[in-house]
Amino acid sequence: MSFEFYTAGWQLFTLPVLAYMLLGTVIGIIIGALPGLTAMMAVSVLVPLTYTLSPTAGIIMLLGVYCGANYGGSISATLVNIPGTPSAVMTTMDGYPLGQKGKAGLAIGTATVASGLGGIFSVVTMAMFAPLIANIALKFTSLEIFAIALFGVTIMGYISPGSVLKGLISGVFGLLIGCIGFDPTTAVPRFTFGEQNLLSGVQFVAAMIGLFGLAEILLASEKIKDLQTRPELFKMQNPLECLKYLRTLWGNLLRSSVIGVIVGAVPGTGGTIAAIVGYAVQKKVSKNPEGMGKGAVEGIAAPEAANNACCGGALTTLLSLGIPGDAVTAILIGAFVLHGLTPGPMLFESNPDLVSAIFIGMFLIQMLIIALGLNFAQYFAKLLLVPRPILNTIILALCVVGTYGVQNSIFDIGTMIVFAVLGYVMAKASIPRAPIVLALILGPVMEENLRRWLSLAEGHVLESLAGAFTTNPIAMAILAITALTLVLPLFQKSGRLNEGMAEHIVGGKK
Amino acid sequence: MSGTRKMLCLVMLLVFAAVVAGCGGGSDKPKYPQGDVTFLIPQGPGGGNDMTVRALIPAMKKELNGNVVPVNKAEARGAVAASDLASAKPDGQKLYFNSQSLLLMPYAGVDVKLEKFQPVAQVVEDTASIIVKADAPWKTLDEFIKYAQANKLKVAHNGNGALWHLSALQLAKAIKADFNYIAYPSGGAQMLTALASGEVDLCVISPSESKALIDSGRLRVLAVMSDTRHAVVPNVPTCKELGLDQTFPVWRGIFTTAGTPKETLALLEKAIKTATESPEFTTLAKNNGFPIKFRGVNEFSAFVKDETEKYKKLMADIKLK
Amino acid sequence: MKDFILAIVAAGLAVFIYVDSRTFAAPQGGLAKDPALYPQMLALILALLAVALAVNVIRGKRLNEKIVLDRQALFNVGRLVVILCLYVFAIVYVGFPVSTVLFIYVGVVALGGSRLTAAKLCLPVALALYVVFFVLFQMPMPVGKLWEGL
Repeated sequence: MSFEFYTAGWQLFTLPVLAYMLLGTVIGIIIGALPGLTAMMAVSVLVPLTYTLSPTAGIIMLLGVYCGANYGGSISATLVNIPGTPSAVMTTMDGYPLGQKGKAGLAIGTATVASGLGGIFSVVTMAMFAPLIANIALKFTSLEIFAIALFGVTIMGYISPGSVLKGLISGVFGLLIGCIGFDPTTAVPRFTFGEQNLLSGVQFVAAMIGLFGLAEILLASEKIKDLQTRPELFKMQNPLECLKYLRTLWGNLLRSSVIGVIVGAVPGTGGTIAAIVGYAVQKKVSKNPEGMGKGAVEGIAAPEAANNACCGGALTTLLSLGIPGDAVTAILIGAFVLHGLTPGPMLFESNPDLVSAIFIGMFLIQMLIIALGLNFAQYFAKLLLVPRPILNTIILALCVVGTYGVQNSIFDIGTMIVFAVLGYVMAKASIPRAPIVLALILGPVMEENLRRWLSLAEGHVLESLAGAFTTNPIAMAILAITALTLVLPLFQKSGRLNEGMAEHIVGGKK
Repeated sequence: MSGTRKMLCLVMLLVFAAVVAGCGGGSDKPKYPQGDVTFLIPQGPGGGNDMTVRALIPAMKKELNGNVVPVNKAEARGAVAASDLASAKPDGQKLYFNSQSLLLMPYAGVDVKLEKFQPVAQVVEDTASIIVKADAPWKTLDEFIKYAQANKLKVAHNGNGALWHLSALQLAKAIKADFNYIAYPSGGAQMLTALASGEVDLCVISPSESKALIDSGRLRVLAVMSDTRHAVVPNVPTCKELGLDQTFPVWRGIFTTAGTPKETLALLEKAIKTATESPEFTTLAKNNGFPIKFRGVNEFSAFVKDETEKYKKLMADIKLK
Repeated sequence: MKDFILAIVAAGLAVFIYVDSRTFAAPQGGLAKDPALYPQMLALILALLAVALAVNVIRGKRLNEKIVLDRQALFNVGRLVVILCLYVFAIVYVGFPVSTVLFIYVGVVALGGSRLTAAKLCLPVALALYVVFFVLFQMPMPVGKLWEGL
């Protein structure tokens, strides 16, 4: 693509377009930060409203909402341990503990910078290699997606501090919950106990908000007298402190961004899976894996870079193939069609200036996220100075209404409360909760793709697996890496599994 | 002191409740619509059905002189939305949009009371077509059929007993081929991605859903399964032209609860007819490449009845439990 | 002891999953078409993990550890859960606006806030939620079964 192509979009950036971009990004960040309001909801509500705008203004505004919401989820994840959007679920692992240490500023700053840089990386790769990325995305068939999900699942046992065994039990329990509903291949209902609302499975957002957000508030309500604000804890330090850590994070950010772009580009995955895989890889290559999950900066940077890089990846597939890369881009198609445009490779020929404007707009949106995030981080954290009884009640109401809003279902609120009680009991029994959420996301993806691969193999499983070395090299490489990371620690003297066991026994004595 | 406060609180509460209730309550305007009409969409936002409904709504609002609110209810593959409609009051205040997927629900183990559904109007009639990868070895339908009879091809579908599963089953029966059916429960986009990546050999799906991938030359349509050619691929012959007498119409229409008064149905029918002619809807249809087809209450009811019989037979034929 | 209970619960769950999944109607078509295959695999893994955990507890001589229950804490948590459940029922029957105003008041008081703040807050907060979700986001508001007849 020529240089003119990249600059062609500039002329579309009139003042109103810039204003709508800013508006969209701000709306996105706020929506992302509110638990229960997801990027998907925001974009789908705003699509019809953009009808009156010019195509450029409308689409850039929606992209602002999309990217902004993806980032905004990290704010509530850090401050109150509730992932504002599902893709921020991994950010709670380290963001919240770091915030509890009184370094909420550092946590939000890191999330901001990592998000922005991940996003910028994805825009640049999208603009330069869109057709190439699209072709790579098409190489990810069932076996490859299964391999990615399996890789994510293997960190279940180690994801939270504490007993590995209990982490695994929690994870397998989550995988089993993921089985509820129609079986992906034969549509036989499983474990629904005759309840119609369970046919399509447990609503993931409801379960996540229950396990994390609501359970956290239940735990806090145990001792009402202690429910005082601890201002010294939330004194906002300079969020720019994160720049000091940036030096150590380049490799991490680059790796996570590449993961984000690829996972985002593969249809049928999305930001949440990108964040999990980014975190899992970081945990496996980290020099200090034990520190992750206890407030490590690298544990915030990895998932945030990955989930924002995912936006660019998903958009790449949309623009170069006409296939949505994730759930939000599926709705974005509606915005394109509404303006008489068909997303797909033809767009590069019919409306090159618009495509160019999308690239430029995405870049500017990421810059905006960094600027807004770093400047306003301190105000976000001020929220925590609201007296706890009030703050917690408002969060409770937000969780209830937000969960209802995902698909206008009262049943989902019930689901959320059940998972909140479950989360509370698990916290009391010192069983890690994170593996359940991880398993709920990855389990169905893993099963669906495994079963599909088995169908494709038509009973010749071993032959197909042997053949896969030549036909699906990517999948076999991912599977090999997964196997290695599982087996290697067993042969090391201070393997993580043994350490986990030791920790488990020590933990039990407390 | 605290008593006064409680009273104050109660009063404010009542005022708030009254304000909110007042917004919903109507004055003594015509009998229909009474307040907001709810339009149930059994899919998530952004899908084909969702866009169709949202394009119909502006003109319907004007025509009905009232508000029409789209509500996405995707839980349990639309089963919840369907039972919502079935149990609603028969006053036409709740509408429901779906394709023949509605008639297929009972076969997929979903408990839906179809007798509670009153067809109001059909708005779209699309068709299935035989789509293969652009570089597939078969250039014509004949070559394809010969190959398919001799080899077990892999066909993608969108779930056991769902729409694109039946279209594939119908084709298999017509050409006496044995397919390996692979499920892609997320639907059309997922099926087409798998086809473009070469994981499966064919899809029996609508050309409208595959427009982007056909236009970009990744996929190719061998034949369309309708009486007339399709706007997205005007150069592709119909099955009939090629000597294979098979059609698979894919219709989408609007339902309400059975027992709704005739006058209300007539009002709705008229509003929907105007909406199908509105610029919002025709533009959407043109951009997405789906053919508009309007059928009124009586015609559509008869058509739905025929379709129900057809699927009963098809299901019995293939012994899909 | 906590962990031993967990092991028993996990083992019980594994058995239940295994038995329940045998009742699935399995269409013909081998491994790939068997809906019970994957849950049964998981049940097996869960059972193994449960045994490992139990062995771990017994070897670590942690069987006799006592579980300390804090009655006051349990009461507080239980009360909050009950309030939440009542809130959901209230949404269904009297609709969102009324129940939310009540919930904010009761919630703030139950979590230790003063009645005055609770009374001052309940209306603005409910109104804000109403505007964000039902006006800006155009979600269909649950109006409550009680008013539907009016």
